[in-house]
Amino acid sequence: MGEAVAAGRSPGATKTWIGRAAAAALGLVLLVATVAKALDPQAFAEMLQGQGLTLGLPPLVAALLALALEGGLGLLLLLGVRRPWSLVAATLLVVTFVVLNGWDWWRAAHGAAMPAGCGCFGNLVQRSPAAAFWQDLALLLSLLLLARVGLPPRAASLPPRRLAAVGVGAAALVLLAWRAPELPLDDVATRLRPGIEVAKVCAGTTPRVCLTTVAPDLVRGRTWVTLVDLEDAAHWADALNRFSSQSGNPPVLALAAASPADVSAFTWQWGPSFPLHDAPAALLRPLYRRLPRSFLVEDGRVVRTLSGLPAADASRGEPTR
Amino acid sequence: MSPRSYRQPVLILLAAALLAPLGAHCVQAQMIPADAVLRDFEPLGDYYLEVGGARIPEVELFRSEKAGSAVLVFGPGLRGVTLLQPRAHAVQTLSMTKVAKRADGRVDVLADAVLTPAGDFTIDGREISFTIEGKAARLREKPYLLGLHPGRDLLLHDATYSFRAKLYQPSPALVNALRQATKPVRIRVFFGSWCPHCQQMVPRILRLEDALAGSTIHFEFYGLPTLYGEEPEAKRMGIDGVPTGVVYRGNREVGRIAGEEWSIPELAIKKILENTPKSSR
Repeated sequence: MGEAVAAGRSPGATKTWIGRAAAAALGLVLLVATVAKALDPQAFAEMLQGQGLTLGLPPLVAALLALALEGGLGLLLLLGVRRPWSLVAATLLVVTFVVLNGWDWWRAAHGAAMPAGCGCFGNLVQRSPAAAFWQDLALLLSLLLLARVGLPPRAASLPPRRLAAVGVGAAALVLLAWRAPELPLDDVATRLRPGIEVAKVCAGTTPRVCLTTVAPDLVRGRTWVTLVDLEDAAHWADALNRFSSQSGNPPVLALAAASPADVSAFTWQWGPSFPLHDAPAALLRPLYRRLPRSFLVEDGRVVRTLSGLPAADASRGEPTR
Repeated sequence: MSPRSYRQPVLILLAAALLAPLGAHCVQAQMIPADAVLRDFEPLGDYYLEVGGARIPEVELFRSEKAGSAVLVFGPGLRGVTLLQPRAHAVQTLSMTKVAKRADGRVDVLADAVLTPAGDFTIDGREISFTIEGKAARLREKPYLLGLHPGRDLLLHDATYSFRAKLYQPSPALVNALRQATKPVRIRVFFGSWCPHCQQMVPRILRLEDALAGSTIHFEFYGLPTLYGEEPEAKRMGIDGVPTGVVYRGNREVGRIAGEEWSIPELAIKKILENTPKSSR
């Protein structure tokens, strides 16, 4: 991984080692962040769109390009391609992250709604806007500064094999992001998986809203919770009504990021046999990749998750009177 | 026996004859089970009924999720019961004798109720229009409860609050602990009558207020509009979510309760009072 020094004074071995290690660590962080976001490209696209960073492109295309860029840069640094231009690119990326986190923090501190975006690490890491700002500032900036230590004054030609590996890796990340929604990775890519306590699934700091805030009864008994999109009700409302009407099934609760007016309109239009509660998008968005998504809660703990509705075949028990 | 001594049994028989049909209905109501679907109706407090353009305040509204969010409308001023079934957009009527009220405040339609079609309903924004006893009727959402109110105003405004309040049982140990407070405590709860989280949590606070009656802890409720960020009092107090409770000991704010903390309001209040510096107690 070393650079061939063609000219100029060679830095000390220790400095070079520190610089390489820091660059590799920074590359690893960027790569992990890229994979985390690639697992749910739609959420990342929504985040870019919300922050006005799509540069006029369709949000998903912008998200795939951003993933290729971030992942490619991460691979470059991880594979030891430590050049002034790669560090300048990394600096621009890190500054962008820090500025965006700072902006989210400032908005949250001034009463803006909780950001529903997935953040730099997708849904894998749950951080408050302030924590995200300070952690990124401390971790990424220090790694970035250290990565410049021991930088040779002038490097030789680019290593073709490593560059080819970076190209292949970036393409693989884009492919992963493209196919990820079809892969059974919901439990990995979201904050919702068997074993977690619903009281600890929260968003925001002041006020802090948790699943048990919008559905206090989840702490007792068994309940199927289905996350839904009211605009897409034609695709799930009847089936969920049938399931919730079947005797013997646990009670069903639907959660949607919707206004009270939307909930009211849905209720009169579709006649749900289940309670429908609205919840902040910031609470719900990290819990799914595609809607509907369901999970079974037993005494406050998630015991099962499903992509889709609680039961595909729910053909009996329709209220007919 | 004197004529006077005959009068009493005759009166009793006459009274029995008059009350017999009512008694028979009660017995019948008790014997006939609730309908398998049209049951478990709970008070629906955020709508009111207008018939012929005039509000009928005494009318009771109930909704049942089990019945596909069907709504029952009945009460003084109406001859029968009107049933609105959202999935079919259908309006039906039934006899008042086929509706049974339960002790817990829920309502069931009896299994032998005959449902008579009475047209359909239309959704116009947040208003539901239909015909009731030949007159144009509308279910309209109530205006939001705004400004400062005692708890009883909330109970009067929305029947859901009192129904849900009865379902919550505060911890007796925590209530007892709160009753030991000697210095007056005032809790101003900023809420929105439009807010679903408030409909979940505010009934718990109202139930707790009832349990703490006679203590030094008092509650007041401040209703906010949907865009409460611009409401002067909310702005002055820095309210960024509802419901938010501002706890005062004397005139000094000693803490706030928000979000998840409302799940057990008595615990949240106790924590704040315990964490208050002794000088302010």
